[in-house]
Amino acid sequence: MSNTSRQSTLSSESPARAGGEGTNQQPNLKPVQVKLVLLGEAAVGKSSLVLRFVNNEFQENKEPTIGAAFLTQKCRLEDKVIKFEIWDTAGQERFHSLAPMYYRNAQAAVVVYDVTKAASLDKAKSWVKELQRQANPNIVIALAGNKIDLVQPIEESEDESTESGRQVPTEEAKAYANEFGLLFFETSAKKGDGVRDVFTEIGMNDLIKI
Amino acid sequence: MKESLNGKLQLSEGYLAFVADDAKSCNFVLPLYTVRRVERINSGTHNFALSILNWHQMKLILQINGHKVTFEKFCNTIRDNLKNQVRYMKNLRSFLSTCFSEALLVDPKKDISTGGLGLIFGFPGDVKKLRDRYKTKLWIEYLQTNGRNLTLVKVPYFSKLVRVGLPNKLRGEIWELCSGAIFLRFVNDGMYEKLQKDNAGKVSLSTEEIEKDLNRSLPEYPAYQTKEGINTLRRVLTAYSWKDPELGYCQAMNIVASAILIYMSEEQAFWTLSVLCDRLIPGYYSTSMYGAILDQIIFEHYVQNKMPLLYEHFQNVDVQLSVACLPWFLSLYINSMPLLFAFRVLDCFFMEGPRVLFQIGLEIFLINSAILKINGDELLTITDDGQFIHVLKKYFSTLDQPAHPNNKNQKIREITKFNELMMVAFKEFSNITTESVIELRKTHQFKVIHNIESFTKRGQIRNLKDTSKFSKNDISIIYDKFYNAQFYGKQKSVRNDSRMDLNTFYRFLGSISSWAKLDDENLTKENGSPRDNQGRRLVGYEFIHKLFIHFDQSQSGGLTLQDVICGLGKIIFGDLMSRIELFFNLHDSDLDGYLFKEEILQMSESFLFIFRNRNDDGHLGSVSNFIRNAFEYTDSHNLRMSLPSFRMVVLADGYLEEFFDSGFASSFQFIEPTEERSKGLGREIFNALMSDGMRLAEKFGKRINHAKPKSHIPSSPDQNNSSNSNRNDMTSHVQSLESSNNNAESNYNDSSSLMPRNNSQDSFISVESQKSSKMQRNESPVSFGSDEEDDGLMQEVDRLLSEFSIDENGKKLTFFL
Ligand SMILES: Nc1nc2c(ncn2[C@@H]2O[C@H](COP(=O)(O)OP(=O)(O)OP(=O)(O)O)[C@@H](O)[C@H]2O)c(=O)[nH]1
Ligand SMILES: [Mg+2]
Repeated sequence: MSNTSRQSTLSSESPARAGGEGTNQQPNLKPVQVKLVLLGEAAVGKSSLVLRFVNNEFQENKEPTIGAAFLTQKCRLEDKVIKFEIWDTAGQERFHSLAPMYYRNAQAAVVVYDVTKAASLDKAKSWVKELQRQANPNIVIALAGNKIDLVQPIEESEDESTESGRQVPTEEAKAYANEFGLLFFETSAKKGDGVRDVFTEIGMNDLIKI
Repeated sequence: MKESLNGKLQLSEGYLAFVADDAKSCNFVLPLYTVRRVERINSGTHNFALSILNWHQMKLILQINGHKVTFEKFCNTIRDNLKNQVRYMKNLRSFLSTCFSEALLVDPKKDISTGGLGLIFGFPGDVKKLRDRYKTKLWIEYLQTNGRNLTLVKVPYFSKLVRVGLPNKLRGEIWELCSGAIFLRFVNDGMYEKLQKDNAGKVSLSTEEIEKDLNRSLPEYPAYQTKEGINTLRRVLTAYSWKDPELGYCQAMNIVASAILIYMSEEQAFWTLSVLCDRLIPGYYSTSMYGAILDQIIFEHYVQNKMPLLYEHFQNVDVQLSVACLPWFLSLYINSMPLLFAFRVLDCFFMEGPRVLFQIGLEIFLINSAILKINGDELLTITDDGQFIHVLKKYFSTLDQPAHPNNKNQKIREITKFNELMMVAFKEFSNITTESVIELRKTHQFKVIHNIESFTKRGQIRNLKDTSKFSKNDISIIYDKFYNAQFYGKQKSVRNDSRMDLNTFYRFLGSISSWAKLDDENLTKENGSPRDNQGRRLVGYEFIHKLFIHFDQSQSGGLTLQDVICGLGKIIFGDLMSRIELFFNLHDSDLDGYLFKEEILQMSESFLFIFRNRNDDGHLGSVSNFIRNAFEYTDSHNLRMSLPSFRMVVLADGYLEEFFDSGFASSFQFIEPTEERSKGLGREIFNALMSDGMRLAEKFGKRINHAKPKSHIPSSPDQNNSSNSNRNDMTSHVQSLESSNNNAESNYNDSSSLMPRNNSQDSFISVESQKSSKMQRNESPVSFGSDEEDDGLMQEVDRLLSEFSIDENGKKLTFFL
C-alpha cells in the first residue's frame, strides 16, 4: 500500500465531467448550483450511488461514510448546466442528529432505501417526514430504491448475495412516493441502472430555479 | 551516571507515578507489581530516601523532602500497597512475552508470536523510506536505558522518537503504553477471551451493524481481503460492543480498529479502544455522539480565538466548520489523510492525548489561510461549503509534497507539507493543553446535551404514529416524564432501546397522577407480585402492573413512548363506557369475559387503592356497596359476573359513576415541574455526567466509586506525556489510598497537591535515577512544544532541522519520512 493510495473520503472530486453527454465548456452557460443531500439507512448504497453518478464506477466494499462526504458533479441538462454539490451523509442511526447540518439549505434530497430490506423503507419514510417539516420548504425529494440488481432474475450473476429477495414491492414504494409528492426511482449503483435519471430529473424539476 | 530531578511523586494503590516539575524532563508510572525491591537508604544529607529496584533492573532513588512523619507514612503505605499487588506478579512473565520490546532487546531479529496483522500481511509503507531499521535501533537504545513496556521512564527524547514516527513493530506497544491501555490489559488478564466466550453466537443490533461494516474497513489493506483479517476485526468490535452494550458500535470505530489492528494484537486493540471510548474521546461513539459534537464546539471556539479573521469569514459566508472537521475527529484523521501520515498523527495522539486532534486541525486551518503566508489564503476566499471542502481536500492530497519547493536551501526544500504540519502544530498551538480541552469540555457539555436532547425529542415526537388527542404541550410533557422516569430509574440493563420497564412505569405513573404515587416500601417479590415486608400483597403495585400489561400492546415487556401515549389517550379521551370496560378487562385476568369472586374482590381493592387518599367518606360506602351488589348480580349458578352486570353495578352507585365518567380521566395531570426539566437527559448522557461528576467528586476526596457503571474494570493511569490528563485518575488512586489508611493528613497524598499548581508544595520529592551514561546524550533542550522566541516560521524550520539532523555521535538523523 503506498502512502498516496489512500485519500480522504472526500477526495474523489471529479473534474467537470458532464453526466455522460459529453463535456460542456461553453463559457456563456453559467452553471446553476444545486445543493443535494443523500439520506437513508446505513449501507443502502448512498455513497455508491454518488460514486456511480460522479465517477461512473462501483466499489464492492465502500467504506462507511463518517459524518458526511462532499462531492461535486456538473452536468448539462437541455439548456442549462447544473453543478450538483452533493452531501453524502452517514447512515447509522446515531449520526442522525448531525443530519440537519447537511440538509440545511439543500434544494434537493435523495432518500435511499434498499429494495431487499423492508426496514430501510421505514427509515426512508422517517427521513422524508423530517425533511418535509424541517428542511427548506421547496426542497425536491426523490425516493430511490437501490440494489435492484439483487432482485432482477438476471442470467448467471455472481452467485454470492443473490439469494436475498426483494422485500419492498415497487408498487408499494411508488404509491407512497405519490402520496407524499416525491420523485420515485429504482436504481442499481452496481449496474448503473436508473442512477443518472435520479439526478437529471431532479435537475429538470421546476423547483430547482436558476 | 546520576541525574537528579525535582518533581511530584504520587502513590496509589497500584502505581507509583512521578512528574518532574517542568512536566517534561521526566515522568513515569510504575506499577507496583513490577517492583522487585524497596530499600531505605540512610545517606548523610538526605535522611529520607528509598531505593526502588524494578523488574527490569532499573534502580530509582527517591528522596522525599519533608518531615520524618511524612516519610514514615509513605514507607508504610508503599509497603502495604506492594503487598497487595504481589498477587499480580505471577502474571508478569507471560504478559511480557506479549510485549515486542522484550523480544527486541533479546534479539532484534527475532519475531514474537503476538502482534498486529502487519506481522503477517505486511506493514503499510516502504520500510526503507520509513527508515524503520534505524528508528528501531534508536528505540533499542532508549529501552535499554530507560526501561520498557510496564516500567518505561519517559525523558524528553521519548517524545522526539515518537514524533518522528514509530517503527512498525514497536508501534502498537508504544500506543498502548502511552494511552495506558497496557495497564488495563495487564490487570484484566483473560477478560477479552471471556467476553468472547460468554457472548459466542449472540446477536444484537450492534453485531448486525458491525457485520455491515466488516468488509468496509480499510478494504485496500490486504488483511481485510481475507477471512482471517475480517474475523480479527469482527472479534475486537463485537467484544467491545459486549463490554459496553450501551455504546455498542459506532461507524468510525471500524476504521479506527482496523487501523490499529495492523500494529496491535486483538487484545491490545481491544483495551486501546476502551481507553479511547472511556477517556481520550469520551462520548464520540456513544449513541448521541455528544462527545464528538462537544469537541466540534470546542474546536470552533479555538478557531475563533486563534484565528478570528478566518472565523469571521466563515461566519460571513455561513460555512460550518464541522462539515469538514467532524470526520477528522471521529476517525482520528485516519480517513482524512493518507494512511501513513494518519499513523504519525496517531503516534502523537496516543502520546499527548486529545489536544493533538485540535492542534493538527488548527494547524491545517492556519496553513491554509493567509495568516502564515505559506499556502496562500485560500480558506479566506471560500464562499461556500463546497469550496471549503475542496481546499482541504487538495491540501490533504498533497501532504507528501514539498512545502517550500522554491527555497534555495536544499534542506528546507526537502520538508514536506506533512513535516511542516507536524512541526508547526505543536509549536504554534502549544498552549492548547489537555487541561484546557477538558475544561472546555466541561463548560460546554450542558449546552450540547440540551441541544441533542431537544433534537431527539422533536424527532421522536414527530415520529409518533398516533398522538391520540393530546395537545402538543401534553405530548411534550409526557415525553419528559417518560424519560425522567427512566433517568431516575436507571438500571444497568442490556436493552438499548428506550422501552420502559415495570419499575419505571410505577415511577412514571406516579409522576402524572397522585393516586399512583407509591410509597417505596421494602418490597420483596414473590411469584412476581410485590409484597411488603410482612409478606402482604401490595394492591397498588398489582393494579399498576395490570395497566402496564394493558398498555404493552406488543407484549414486549416494555413500553415505548407510543404505547404510553396510546394507553393514556384511551383512558383520558375515552368515555364512561370505555373506562368501565377497561377496568373490567384489567381485572379479568384470564380474559374469559367474566369476573369471578377473587377478581371482584381484587376490583374492590383496586378501588380502595385509588381512592385511598380521598378525604371523603363516600368511597368506603361505595366500595362496600359495590361488593354487595356485585355478589348479588353474579350469576348465582357459577358465581361470575359479566361485563353488562358489572356496568349495572357501577352505574347503580353515583360515586363510582362519577369516577368512571370523569374522575379517573381527570386524575391524570400533565404539569411540567420546573426542576425536572433540566434533567430530561438520555441514559448515556446521564452516564457521562455521572462519571464526570465522579471524577470531580473524587478530586474532593469523596469516594463514590460504587456508583460508577463500569466499576468492574480497575482503572489505571494513562501515560500521556503531559501527564495532566491523568491527574484525575492519579488523584482517585490517592484517594483510595487515603480511605484505606485512615491517616490522610500527610502531604504526599493530599489530593490538592496533585493539582497543577506550582506553589505551595513543601514536600518535594526528588528522584535520582541511576542510568548509564548514554542518558546524557539525550538531554539537549529540544522540545517542539513551547519555546521562548517566536522567530517566524523559517527560523523555526531551520532550528528544528539542525536539531534533527545531527546527534551527538555525528550521525545523521534528518527526517524519517
Ligand atoms: N448489489 C449491490 N450492492 C450495492 C449497491 N449499491 C451499494 N452496494 C453495496 O452495499 C454496500 C454499502 O454501500 P455504500 O454505498 O457504502 O452504502 P451507504 O449508504 O453509503 O452506507 P453508509 O455510508 O454506511 O451510510 C457496499 O458494500 C456496496 O458495494 C447496488 O446497487 N447493488
Ligand atoms: Mg456512505
